[in-house]
Amino acid sequence: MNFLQAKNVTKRYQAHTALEDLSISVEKGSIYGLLGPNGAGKTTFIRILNQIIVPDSGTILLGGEKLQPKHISMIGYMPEERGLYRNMRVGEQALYLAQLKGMNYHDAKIKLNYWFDKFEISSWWNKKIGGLSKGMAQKVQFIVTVLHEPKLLIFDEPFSGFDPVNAGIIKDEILELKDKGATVLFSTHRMESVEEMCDHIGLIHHSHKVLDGEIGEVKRNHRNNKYDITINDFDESRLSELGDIVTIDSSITNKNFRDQVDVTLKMINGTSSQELLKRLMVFGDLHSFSENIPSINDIFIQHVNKI
Amino acid sequence: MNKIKLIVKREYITKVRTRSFIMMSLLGPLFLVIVFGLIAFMASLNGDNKVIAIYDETSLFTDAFKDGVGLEFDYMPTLGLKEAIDSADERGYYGLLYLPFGAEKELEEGKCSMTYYSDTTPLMSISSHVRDDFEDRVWALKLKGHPDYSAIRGENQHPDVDVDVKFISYKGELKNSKNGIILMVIGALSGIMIYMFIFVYGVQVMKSVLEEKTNRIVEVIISSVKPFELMMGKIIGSALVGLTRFGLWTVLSGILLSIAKNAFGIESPSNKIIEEVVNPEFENEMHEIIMSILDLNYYLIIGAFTFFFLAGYLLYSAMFAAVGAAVDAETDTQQFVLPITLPLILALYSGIMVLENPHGPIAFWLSIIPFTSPIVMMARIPFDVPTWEIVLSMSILSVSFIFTTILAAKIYKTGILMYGNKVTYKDLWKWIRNS
Repeated sequence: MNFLQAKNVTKRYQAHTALEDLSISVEKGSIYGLLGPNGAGKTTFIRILNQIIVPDSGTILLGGEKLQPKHISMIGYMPEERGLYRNMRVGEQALYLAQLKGMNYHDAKIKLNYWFDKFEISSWWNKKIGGLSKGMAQKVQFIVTVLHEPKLLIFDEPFSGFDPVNAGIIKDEILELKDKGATVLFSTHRMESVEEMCDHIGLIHHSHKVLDGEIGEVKRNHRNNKYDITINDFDESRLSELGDIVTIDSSITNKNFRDQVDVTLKMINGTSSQELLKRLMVFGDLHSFSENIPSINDIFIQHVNKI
Repeated sequence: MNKIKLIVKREYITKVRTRSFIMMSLLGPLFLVIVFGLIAFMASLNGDNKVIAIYDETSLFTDAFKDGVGLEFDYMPTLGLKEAIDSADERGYYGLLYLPFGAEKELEEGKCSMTYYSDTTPLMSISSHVRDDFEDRVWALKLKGHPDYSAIRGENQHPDVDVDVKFISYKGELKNSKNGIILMVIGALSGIMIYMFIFVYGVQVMKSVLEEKTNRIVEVIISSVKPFELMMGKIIGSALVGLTRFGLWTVLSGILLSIAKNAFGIESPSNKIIEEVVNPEFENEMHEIIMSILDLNYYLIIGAFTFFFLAGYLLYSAMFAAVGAAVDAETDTQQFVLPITLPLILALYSGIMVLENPHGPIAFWLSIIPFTSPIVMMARIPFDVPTWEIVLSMSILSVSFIFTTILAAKIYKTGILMYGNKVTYKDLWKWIRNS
């Protein structure tokens, strides 16, 4: 079931179009990665979801209902540019933001104690945000985002500013929230986190959606018949012998630190990997042979550069 | 609505508990009392004998007025009132007391009037001295020949006569009986206070908006509340901080003034001064000033201050909020802040003219035009401004602040999400038109 559905959303400003006819669907309890280069329109879309701005046309459905002010308390949003009041204490600030999201003081206090214990930051309660490090403040911001148990979580670059250990903690928390039924939309440039966490991705470029789908499917669709091979004592000049099954000019060779040669070969359509493997055996001691499946990063770059 | 309350509360609490707020709230009244003390002290330095001319057409008051501490009377020949006034003016007399012909007949009817000509409103100690001597003589005249004169005099403090004293300047303008210098000081202080409050709290709103914008928390907040709610919450919160400070100042100044009042041996405004004092001249002056201060219509002044502060502040703070939202850094605010503060500064500087002529055309128009009216009207109010002018000024100001708030909200809404571009007036206009 789709929890979030955007249909033909368009937003124009005087000089430019921020989003053109964008449609995406996010399944309930899944993590959707919203990708795109800077200025593609991701922030505009997120602001529309948060009802900060109104689209010129198109509709947004949340849990089957048209997006409306009452949904504010169902959404948790952590913007890319984090911000908290520097001269306010951690605890009262968290309470304030929780109440703005519609929680009452008492519930907010209980939930905050739970999260502060969980993150082992209870001693920060009376500290001023200005006195915390960036990573510490980010933790507080994360808690504030998820405190009111939103059904839709929107994270804009959730891992920026975290050290690897804390990034790991946050990642686990997000996955746990997902397991509890939250739907997560997350916008990022960090492709490795997309591969690790997202179930679906959507790529926005120049205000248009250029690609979307289940992550495995997207990757499968971008297979390009390339294989990575590592051979000991390989004589590169013999590569031309494979001219009938491989496009030689697109092959890449590299000598690695063990004096082995890494080769990426693109096969001509219609030939099987079996055959390539057989032919390679005679070149030397074959160390590894694997299909080169493009990473999301490659797919991203490939699409962005295409247009 | 609930959310606005939260925003107001946060805005209020974070400002009120700062050290600077507490310090200023305590130091303000102290400063005020010191200013009054200085004025009193300086006034007492002009300790020359004051001469009051008596122009007595009735000849009933010969020797009625007795010289007192720092006070002399000069009986003038009754050769014409105009000449007498001119000569009193020339000689630099403190004032001229005119007892018109026919006073005797009036006395029979149970009333008596005299006119006091002077360019300065008399100190209360002097006017009460004059009035006492006058009443004494009137009393004596009424009971002329009565055997039990002293017994009756002892029982009744005042004769059964309406005594009417008119205060008129040498040029013949009817004057307020209150102390002119004190009115000017109160007027100036009120005007300056309004200016300061509008400026300080307006800039505070701007900084608060800018803070939220630069540390980006605004994005989180407006995903929970409407930008208009956030802006109004801020404006109201800061206004409450201002009112709290004003309230504290009023109460603390009141306490300090009454301490000063007691220290100088004044029982209550209607009672007479104690005569046996170490330094009567200084004590009298001090008493005078405190009395004049206590004598003002404080309900009107405090009420008007509250209104003009709130309305003037609402008018300006909305614009300040819009500026805070439009720019990225405090250094960029100047180009927009200057035009906003220009009318404020104009109002402040024209205050001197207004105080000199509180009922003139400049004073009138500046207290009607909404951008200057809070300051100028406040400066005028101690001088008894006609009610219709106050009502007109308040109405125009109220309509204006609603109007500026609507415009400012449009700029605010767009501005808080705009980063990186240097904003021009053209942009602001576009934002107003397009939202």
